[in-house]
Amino acid sequence: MSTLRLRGGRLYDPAHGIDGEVCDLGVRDGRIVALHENEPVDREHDVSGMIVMAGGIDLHSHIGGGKVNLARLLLPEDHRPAPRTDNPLELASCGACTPGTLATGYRYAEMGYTAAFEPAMALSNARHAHMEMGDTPILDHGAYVMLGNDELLLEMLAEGGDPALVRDYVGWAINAARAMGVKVVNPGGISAFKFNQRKLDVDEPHVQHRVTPRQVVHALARALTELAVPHPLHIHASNLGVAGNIASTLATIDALEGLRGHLTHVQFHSYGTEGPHKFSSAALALVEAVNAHPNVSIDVGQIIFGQTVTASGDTMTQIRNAALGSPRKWVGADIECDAGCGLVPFRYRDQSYVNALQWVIGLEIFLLANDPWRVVLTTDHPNGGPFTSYPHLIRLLMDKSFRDEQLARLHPEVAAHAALREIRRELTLYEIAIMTRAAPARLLGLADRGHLGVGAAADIAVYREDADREYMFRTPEYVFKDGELVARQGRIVATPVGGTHFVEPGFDGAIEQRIARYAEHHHALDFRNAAIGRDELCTCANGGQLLVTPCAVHGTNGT
Amino acid sequence: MSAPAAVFELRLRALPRFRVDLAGVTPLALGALGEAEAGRVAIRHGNEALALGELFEIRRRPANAPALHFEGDLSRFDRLAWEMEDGEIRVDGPVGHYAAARLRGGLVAVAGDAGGFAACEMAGGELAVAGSVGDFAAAALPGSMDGMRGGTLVVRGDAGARFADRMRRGTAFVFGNAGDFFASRLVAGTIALGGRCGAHPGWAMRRGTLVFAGETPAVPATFVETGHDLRVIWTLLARDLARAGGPFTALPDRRVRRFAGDIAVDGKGEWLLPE
Amino acid sequence: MTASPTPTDAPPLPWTCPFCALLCDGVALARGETLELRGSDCPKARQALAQQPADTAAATPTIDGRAASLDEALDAAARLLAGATLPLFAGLATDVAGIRSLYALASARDAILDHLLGDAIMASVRPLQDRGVYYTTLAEVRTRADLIVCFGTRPAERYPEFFRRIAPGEPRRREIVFVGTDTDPAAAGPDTELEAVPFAGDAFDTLALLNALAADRALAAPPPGPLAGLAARLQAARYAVIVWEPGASGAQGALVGEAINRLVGTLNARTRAASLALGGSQGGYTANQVVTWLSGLPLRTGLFRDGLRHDPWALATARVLAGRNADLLLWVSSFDPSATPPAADLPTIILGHAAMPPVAGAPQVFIPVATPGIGAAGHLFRLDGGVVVPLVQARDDGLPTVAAIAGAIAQRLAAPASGAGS
Ligand code: SF4
Ligand SMILES: [Zn+2]
Ligand SMILES: [Zn+2]
Repeated sequence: MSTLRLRGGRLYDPAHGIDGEVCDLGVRDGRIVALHENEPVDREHDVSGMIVMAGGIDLHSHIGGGKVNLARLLLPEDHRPAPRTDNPLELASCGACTPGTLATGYRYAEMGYTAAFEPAMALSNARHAHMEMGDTPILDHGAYVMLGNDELLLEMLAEGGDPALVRDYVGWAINAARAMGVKVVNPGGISAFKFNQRKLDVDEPHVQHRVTPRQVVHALARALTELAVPHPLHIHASNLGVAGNIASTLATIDALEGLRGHLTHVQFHSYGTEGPHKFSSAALALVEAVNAHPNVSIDVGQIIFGQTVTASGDTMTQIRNAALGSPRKWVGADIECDAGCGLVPFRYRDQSYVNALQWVIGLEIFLLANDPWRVVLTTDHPNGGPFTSYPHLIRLLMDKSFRDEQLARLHPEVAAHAALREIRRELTLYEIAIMTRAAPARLLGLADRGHLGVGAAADIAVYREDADREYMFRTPEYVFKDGELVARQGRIVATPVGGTHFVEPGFDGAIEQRIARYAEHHHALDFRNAAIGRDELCTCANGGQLLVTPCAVHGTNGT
Repeated sequence: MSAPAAVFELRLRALPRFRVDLAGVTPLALGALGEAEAGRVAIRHGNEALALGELFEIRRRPANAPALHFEGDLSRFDRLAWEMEDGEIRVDGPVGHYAAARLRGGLVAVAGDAGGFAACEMAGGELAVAGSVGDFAAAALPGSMDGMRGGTLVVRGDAGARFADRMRRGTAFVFGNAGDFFASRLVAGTIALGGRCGAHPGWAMRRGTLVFAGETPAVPATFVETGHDLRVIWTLLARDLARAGGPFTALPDRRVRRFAGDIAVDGKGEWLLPE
Repeated sequence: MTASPTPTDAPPLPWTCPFCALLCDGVALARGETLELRGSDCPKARQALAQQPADTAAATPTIDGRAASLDEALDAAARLLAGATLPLFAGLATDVAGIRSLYALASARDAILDHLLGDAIMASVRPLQDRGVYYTTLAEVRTRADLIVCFGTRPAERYPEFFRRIAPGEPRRREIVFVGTDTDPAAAGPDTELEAVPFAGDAFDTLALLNALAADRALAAPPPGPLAGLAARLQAARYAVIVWEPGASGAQGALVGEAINRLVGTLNARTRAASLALGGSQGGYTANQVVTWLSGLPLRTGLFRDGLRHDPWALATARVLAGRNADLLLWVSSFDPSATPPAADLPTIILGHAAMPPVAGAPQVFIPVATPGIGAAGHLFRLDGGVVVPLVQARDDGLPTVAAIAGAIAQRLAAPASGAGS
């Protein structure tokens, strides 16, 4: 048994409505407990004057799996020079926009994050994804399996899409991949590109299966609802990056017909066609739709200026973007009749009209949305920028004068006309705690993470108050993972193996016959090896804890 | 700089056990130091840090311009003049790999041979090698889009394979022969070859100019003869190249044929074949 | 270390073959005195199975050729490693768990990492690093390809089940064209047309021409008819796959890969195409994937004390050894007993196949290890990159895994006081 007390910190725990109350925090055996004021503890830290939050949770970050590793292979120059730290606890690992898994874990933990979720795990690549995540030290992790471009599901929908069949198939796939949820990427579009279709809007039919993205989105959202999977369908909508794509985004919300859905990296989906460049911000339209649809949550996918690499399953989009990439090289792949993968290096430039506007749109979405519980802070690492830029992003959101300074440096037309100039809002610590902890935990159905209530996992970040929020959020004073001190003033002091979050929705096993038959005719892996067992998951994930989130009737979404 | 310039003479004491990384040992970096201080400059030998003075006897004398003179067999010493900005380095024998790689300015003169990747990604200044260079001279590091980006490379001996792979700017001379895939994937820049070359010269070159002053290579099927009148341009270029001497001296007196390629790629490069 | 014999009448074990990167998993293994393949006639697998010693009891660790206990061998290995300042970890023919475990050891000892098929692996990685690739996977080839071009390779020679693994599941017409080789009868099948197109010059000349033709560029002279025909069919195909073999493409194989992917890129502007690089056997792609995700850089990276450096040229095993730029060789080879360490006048630790012949020479520790898929379960990456295939244990032969050995050595290094074993 081991106990810990953090004395005198200011707590920000939005799940319990705690907004800066000074209060001690007790921990026993990795869990938050109520300790009597005088109860002796094994360790006590005086954190008076400091800010205490639950550990950060990144619900959309490409941290592991085939495409991330391809991005590393694609950009050896991103890993030069690659000094080693003087910390003997850190194994050698390097990289800036797609660091090695080891460095990813260290850098996240140093910033006070204790969990991250890989949003785009291909079913056929699930073992690999779990392996990389298992080798990402300290962080708990989980992944959303990509469906909606797998030929089998499209085939089912083409046959009429019997909801029970789809539900069982989705349930099987989630279990097989040991996923935390389902992501749909350019619904039907990745498959369509394999048939040489170059464009697919929400109501356009797939050239082969004659199924529309609207049908795909609705069928998957319905299946997840019926399976009672806590995380709503994670949606990378049609027409990513295309001017005027706000229409597709709104149509996608419409396709949900009130079912829950999480629109991811919405910044890339909120573009209008106004103005001299035929490219404009549709942030307001997006936010109005989100405000009006309590069934919808979003993460932003803010861009950050500088070099990065865009990593996506969306081959249809990436082959178009390849011409804009920098440096001029890219990787694409068609994968196992269930997915695709496209990697395009990208340099966001503040003097580019389009990039400057993308930057503005992201911030506008953050600052205009009225319900922080449905808005999650992300850069879609590494697509908008590496996760290491979160402290910078937080400062942009919390500090109007800093934001204005940055805005003034952008492409002059953007700097002069952006609606962002008029937005006075500065997010509070409470709101930041929602967008980086409480909201993602709630959207994922994690009952014991993202808050500081009794019984929660003692994943805790303690920040030293500083007017420079970037500095403050970059280097927390203490970071605890399951009650263990893992980082101290930006230095890693312990490297436990993180756990794997997943769900196990029930489904009718009869579906396996259909899947096995399909596999026999189309796949290249014996059906016997299609699903990952629990023991195998444990091996893949490097022996970390298996953290099962129950699938049950739930209704918590929004405040 | 506040301290007066100095010439350092560095005489190799004995061949080191492992390869040594000379990155950081530049005329400007040592210039401000005294003899003893220079001897304490750390360099990497295998995985261990070693003092420069353990490997070299060091003499310092004041001079007008900063310079380093190495004496001995430096074939186990890599990254000589790595990213050097200015000044002069002379080596009286051979050097190892990555000599003058990412050089930005100044002069590096090697009396012997240089290993692999000499002048790789060099951006300015000059590397002159009296002997031969290994594979990938003036080329790019893995993943880099551009090899040599500027400056001048002069090789009086032979060059290995993939000479000037992905080179983008600057001028390179090889007095002797070149290996396979001479000027592969050339992006731009000018290269003059005095001897003969191996298989597939100009493979997938996009732009840039190759001048074959020595043996005329067979022209691949993806290069096309152009009928342009080249006299004015060739006269200027040939005079320029002739200044390098050796096999290039007579270039202005020769007539030239021009081929464009490699049309397997962009096809905007040129081969100039003097008759 | 005795193999526990399995009764001959036990039903064949559903099995995954680890002996080439195709990782056939639709086969089974009959386990008696010997291990016999069922469901495939693959000669490569049969030969590899025949090489598995029936009795691993004879396979004991040795120190300088003398039999030793495992503890003694581990102590000796730890001592050698502790005394080295610039170790080279090569071979690396093991599974995911083995590489994970070796990586921690390599990081602690600032080692250089390379694989015994490093040249071939780098020939497949370099096109990706320099220009990018568009590739496809086995299920896509099975389901979609209407034109398969085997460029400079007869895949079944090194990957015997290749054409069976990509055979369509339902009747579908397709063409398989061999460029630069004869047609391979192994590729024959219903609705399949085979054709051979000779090189025009060598592989490079041929690719240059194909690239120019596919991009509709005007050539100085008319190209050879069969090649022009192939280019036209590539343009007309709905889904063309160009198969090549980095390990059989020569010293500049990376340029073959780059040219093939340029061709694929040109085709993808109008129709669909993709490449497929055959390689990665003996855990080659596995080692490269795992090292890449852990470190951020591929194989041929030194985890040097002052930083990580990737250098596919200078850090090739052969170059490192020829230049005497290492003071210890750790050689890992758990699939093929003939994959012995290269001659090196260096202290050598071998984590080797139980049937590996003794290697004469320098001070040496040999520890026999289980072959993943025979003596131990495990995971390997298939040749198309993204698919990890689970391996099952075929029998308990008492041999330790590479992961266990590397872990035990690391533990001894972390606790130097326990020099006398545990
Ligand atoms: S083709 Fe390869 S994996 Fe398949 S059975 Fe033969 S050796 Fe084993
Ligand atoms: Zn996405
Ligand atoms: Zn994403």
